[in-house]
Amino acid sequence: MSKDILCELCPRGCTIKPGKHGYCRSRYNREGELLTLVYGKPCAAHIDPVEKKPLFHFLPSSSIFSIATAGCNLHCLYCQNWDISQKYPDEVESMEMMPKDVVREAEKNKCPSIAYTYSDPSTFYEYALDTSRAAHAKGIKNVLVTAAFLNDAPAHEILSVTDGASITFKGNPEFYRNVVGGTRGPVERYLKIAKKLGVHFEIIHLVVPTMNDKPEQLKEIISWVLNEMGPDVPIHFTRFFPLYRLTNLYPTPVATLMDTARAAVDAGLKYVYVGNVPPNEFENTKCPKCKKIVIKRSGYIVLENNLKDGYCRFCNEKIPGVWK
Amino acid sequence: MKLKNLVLIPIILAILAATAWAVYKTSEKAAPEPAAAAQPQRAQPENFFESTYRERLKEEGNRTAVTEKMIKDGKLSSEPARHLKIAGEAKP
Repeated sequence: MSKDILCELCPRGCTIKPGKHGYCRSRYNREGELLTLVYGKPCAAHIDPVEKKPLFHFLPSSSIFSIATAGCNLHCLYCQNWDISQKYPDEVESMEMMPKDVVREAEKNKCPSIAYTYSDPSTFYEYALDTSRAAHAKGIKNVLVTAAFLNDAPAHEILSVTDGASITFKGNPEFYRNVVGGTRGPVERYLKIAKKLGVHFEIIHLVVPTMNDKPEQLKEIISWVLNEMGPDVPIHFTRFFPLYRLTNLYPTPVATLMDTARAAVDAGLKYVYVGNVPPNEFENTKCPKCKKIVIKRSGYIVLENNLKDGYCRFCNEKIPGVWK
Repeated sequence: MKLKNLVLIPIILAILAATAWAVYKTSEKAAPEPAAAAQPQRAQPENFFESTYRERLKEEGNRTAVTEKMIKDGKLSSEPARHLKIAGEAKP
């Protein structure tokens, strides 16, 4: 009898032979049994400001306990965490931290939420899922920082215990095929599932010079988000810096990011941000009704918060997000 | 001038010209076109991701022993994964 296993976690659908790993490097066929090698073995555990994820409409200025393991089911040529995402679990230093330990550390450090981040929670799916359940049992919120390359059933399962998500929507289908090593369809479906389940999420679009920075490409992203997700979803256009396999490219010109953000606002998106750029006009949250600043930021620091229970203090307009 | 020299001069000139031409053509091939050299790195070939995975799998023979030892030592987890099918049950 065959001991090959078809992994149905992500759209890649690896058929994994005994003694072999999946594309993600973290799933391993041990004589006909598929194991997740990274369960309870994070290689990174940090406390970050939630704004770093980036999440601008989620418990502003709070700390978030953040964990990651080795491996990834994508292979972005610009990955900023390639030293863990493109490694086998045996190649990185990891620690022992079972789900209940993660929750305890979050509590101990007064973090109201836990982020599954840095590499991609799709890679440590079972670990993130069980930790999320344990966190909810203790009243702690869960945040996914993800490229959303997951099949529909597991996406449904993990999003049902998720309170906030920072989801990268990287470019057109060609960009996914040539630069990311994936496809865009599953990401679109994931975003639609998150919307249907009422999970708060923010979309991140990294603008990579010469790869996905043409005005028509950026316009297509803006149109898709506006038409499929609606005008209330926050979107962050972030600056690329040369890393991993794209070190010969230059950083994204700030003007490109500003022009894109203005185009998104003109198109009708209400909450548009520019990330990885020193103080700029798109780092504050403005009330779409009275146009006043409801959250004033400088980088990851919140300087002013004019929200009252999620409503604009000046005109009482509801601002979407998770505020308490 | 001797007749012999009159014959040799055009032959030597022809050899020099041929050598110069060959050197020029070789250097032309070696140096990238200025326009091409200035181009930023384009996306990897479409099969780059799958081919690197296949290459990795070929080299995994040595990794199996390491993985097994690290599972045995408790440095890697042996938690069963979810969302899978045994290949016989899988759709084609």
